[in-house]
Amino acid sequence: MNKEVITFALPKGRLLPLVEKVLKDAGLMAIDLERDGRRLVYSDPERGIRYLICRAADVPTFVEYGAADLGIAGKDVILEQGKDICELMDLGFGECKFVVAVPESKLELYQGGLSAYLSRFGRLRVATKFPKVAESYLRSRSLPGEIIKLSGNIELAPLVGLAEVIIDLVSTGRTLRENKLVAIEQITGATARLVANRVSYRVKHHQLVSFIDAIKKVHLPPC
Amino acid sequence: MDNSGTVLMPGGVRDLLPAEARRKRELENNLLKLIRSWGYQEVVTPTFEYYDVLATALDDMLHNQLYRFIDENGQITVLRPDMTTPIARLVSARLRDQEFPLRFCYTANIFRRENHAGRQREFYQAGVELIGAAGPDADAEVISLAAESMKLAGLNDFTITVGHVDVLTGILKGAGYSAAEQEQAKIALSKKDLVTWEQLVENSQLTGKYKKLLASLPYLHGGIEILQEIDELVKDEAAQQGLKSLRHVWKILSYYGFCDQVCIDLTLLRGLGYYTGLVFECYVQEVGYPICGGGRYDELLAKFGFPCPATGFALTIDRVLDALDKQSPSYDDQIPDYFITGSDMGEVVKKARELRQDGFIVEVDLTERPRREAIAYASRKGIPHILVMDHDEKVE
Repeated sequence: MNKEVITFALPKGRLLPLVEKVLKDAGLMAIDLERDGRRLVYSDPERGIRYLICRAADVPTFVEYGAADLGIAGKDVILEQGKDICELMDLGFGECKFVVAVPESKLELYQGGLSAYLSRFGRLRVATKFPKVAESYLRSRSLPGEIIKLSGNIELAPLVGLAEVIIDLVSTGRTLRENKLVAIEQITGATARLVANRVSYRVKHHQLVSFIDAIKKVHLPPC
Repeated sequence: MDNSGTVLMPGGVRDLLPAEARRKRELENNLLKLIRSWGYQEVVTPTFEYYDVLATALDDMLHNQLYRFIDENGQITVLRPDMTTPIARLVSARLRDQEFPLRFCYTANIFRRENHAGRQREFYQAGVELIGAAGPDADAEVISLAAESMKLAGLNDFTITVGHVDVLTGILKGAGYSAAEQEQAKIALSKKDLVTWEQLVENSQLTGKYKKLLASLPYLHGGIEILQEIDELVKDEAAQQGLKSLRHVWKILSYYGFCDQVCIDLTLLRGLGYYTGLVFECYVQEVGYPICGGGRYDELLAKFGFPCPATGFALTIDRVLDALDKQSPSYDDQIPDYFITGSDMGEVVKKARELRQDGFIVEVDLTERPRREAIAYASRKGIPHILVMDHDEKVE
């Protein structure tokens, strides 16, 4: 069996401490990641692993191109990017969900859901940071909506009449509440996933499977 | 958009500089030579064809990636998104009365509207189509030839993964899935979305050890012995037949000596609905995408009104070049063997001609620069032989 070095892309930010804990519990990581986040590459020669610290949204890209064999990415990122990668395991943490939210003040217009709204009003504009997720949602429900892609602070859009509704990722729902928005529908949940490059999955299969087994042993995802 | 005076290119196309172009040309020539030695003949089809003709036979994925144009008669034409479909068209339209099997090969540029940044939209393939041969011997020939091609290309450390559509379908049917669920399962497995797969396994009608076995399907990677493990999951006729042909193919691969590099994974799917039997892909560690892929497509020619079994593979030249580049990046420009300069142009031409006929690469000096400069130029370029042909003297 070839004992090549495995390159593992980890997401910077809120998931990183959770990821570090799981990998250490599983006995896969013997090094400490520095807290200041300046260092981008860590080597663990004993275990034959090299860690890359990437922007969370870039992990699927590193993995798809084979610059990393393995990675940990949120399902939200995976859904939005639609990259050609293997999704090996649900790690269960970092939970958040995609929701459709509307201004509290207009809640009654949406009582019957978006299709009922569209039977009374001609136009539905959806502001979102996740145009692909939003489009596949609208398409799956046959809702003729127009997507307005924003880069952040989506909550502003309905307040100033840029969009009727938003599709956004929420974890606690605080931001929605603070901006007087209410979720009217949950599209899908999203947790952290272990992902792999398609070729690494085949060429380094036994090594990757031993990784999965080690993680599964200490960290059974909630069913 | 104003591109005037700029040197921009659209995303997904590339230039090949001399060393790269040479490497590509040599690779293609060598591959064609190898493939011809297996009895395959090269065919060439047009770069663009009628949309109506090709579209009937394209699978959804390729359909969505077509470059379309409207010609002067209002007909929609498309740039070829693969070579298998045009060759199927060619055989159905012109070669029905030939004696089968037909063995064809090609090298061609292929056009697909890839949305991912960094993916090639024009890329090069070399491949074969073996038409009119239904049995596992044909499958084995095509895989073996793909393996030989990888070796010839200098990618000795390759892995081939083999799967079988009928076996997988049989397993999914056996698990009690409805047609819609089978489709869902295939999508999850082809995307290697194992999280969804686990949920589907939970919903299956299997229990106990069968359920565990089903769950383990994507992790079963190995030699012929893994077929033993799943034997119990396979009940219907087509799937049994599929297992039999996998075993046969394995035997033939062992005669070629490739078994160490072949791995069976029954969850290998290459797109949906196109392949009908055995499928395979080749990988090397250096490149994050499959280098080569193929399989049996027994229903394609019927879409052109000529039902006929067929199998084949296509190797992506660009990815081979990427892999080779990672193995040995320094691939120098071609250096001539001779540099000839001198005032006696008649002698210069005569000598150059002789040397070229003998197979040497000869560069003739075109400049009227001083002798010393010309010689300095040739030595900077590393040309080993410098000839000076003057009226009064000839110096090497």
